[in-house]
Amino acid sequence: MDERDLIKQAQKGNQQALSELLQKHYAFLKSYLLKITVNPYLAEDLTQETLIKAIEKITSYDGRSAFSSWLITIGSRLYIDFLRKKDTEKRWTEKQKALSKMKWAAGNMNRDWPEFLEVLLTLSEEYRIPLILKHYYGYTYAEIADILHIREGTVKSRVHHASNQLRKEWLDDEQTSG
Amino acid sequence: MNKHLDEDNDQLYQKMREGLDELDELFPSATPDTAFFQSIVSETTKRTKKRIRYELLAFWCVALVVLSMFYFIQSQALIIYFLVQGLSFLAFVLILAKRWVGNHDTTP
Repeated sequence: MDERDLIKQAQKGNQQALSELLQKHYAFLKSYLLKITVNPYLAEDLTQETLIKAIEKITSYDGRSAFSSWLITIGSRLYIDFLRKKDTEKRWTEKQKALSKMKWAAGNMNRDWPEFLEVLLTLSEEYRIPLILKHYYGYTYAEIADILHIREGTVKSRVHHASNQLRKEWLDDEQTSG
Repeated sequence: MNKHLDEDNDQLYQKMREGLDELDELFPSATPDTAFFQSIVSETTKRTKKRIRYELLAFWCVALVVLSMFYFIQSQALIIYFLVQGLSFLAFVLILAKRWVGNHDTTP
């Protein structure tokens, strides 16, 4: 069965088709959530929540965007909701905890921690997510606006601001490290 | 000036992509087996159906209360009115109690 058939069957209540569909997109979804959260533990939880939401809402998928984009739309909004519920200080503490855990895990695997991620983490989520969607995944401004449920002009200005901010942080970081 | 900035940005995005790819390699997103997806789909579907049933029942209870009020006003049949009110209230309490038990159920 190709993807379109799987979607049709899943919307008719075929659980096997829905399972197959979600399995097919699982790695992409989780990898996306890992990139925007830079936290594998949170990405894992959000992936589960996204799957549940997608199962509940499968009949409302209208095929306007790719199924993978629909999934990352759900995932992004769940992440934004999650951030809204937490205060800034708690978010910062959790981010630092996750960062040290990840560095420790990288060390255990005898791998270098990609330092640029720390520069990326200096951006707040509202800037980081559009930047990643634009310059990692290659979505258009209109598609990002749809995914994040904000105006296209806002996306453009956030990507622009994020690029400037990131460049500044990167140059500072380069100067500091010599 | 603009060309220089564009080149800077290209380098910057390239760095970002490399960093994110490395993150992917450090924490690979392995896909669980088919049984995992079948189980999550089946559990979620069951839960959703159950929730819809409760919501429908709650809707009917409210509708019954409203209808019985109309009936009472029209015919002033007190016995039927209180009977329907009592039953609706009882059903409502039962739904709440069942939901509460469901939410506090710790079995996996």
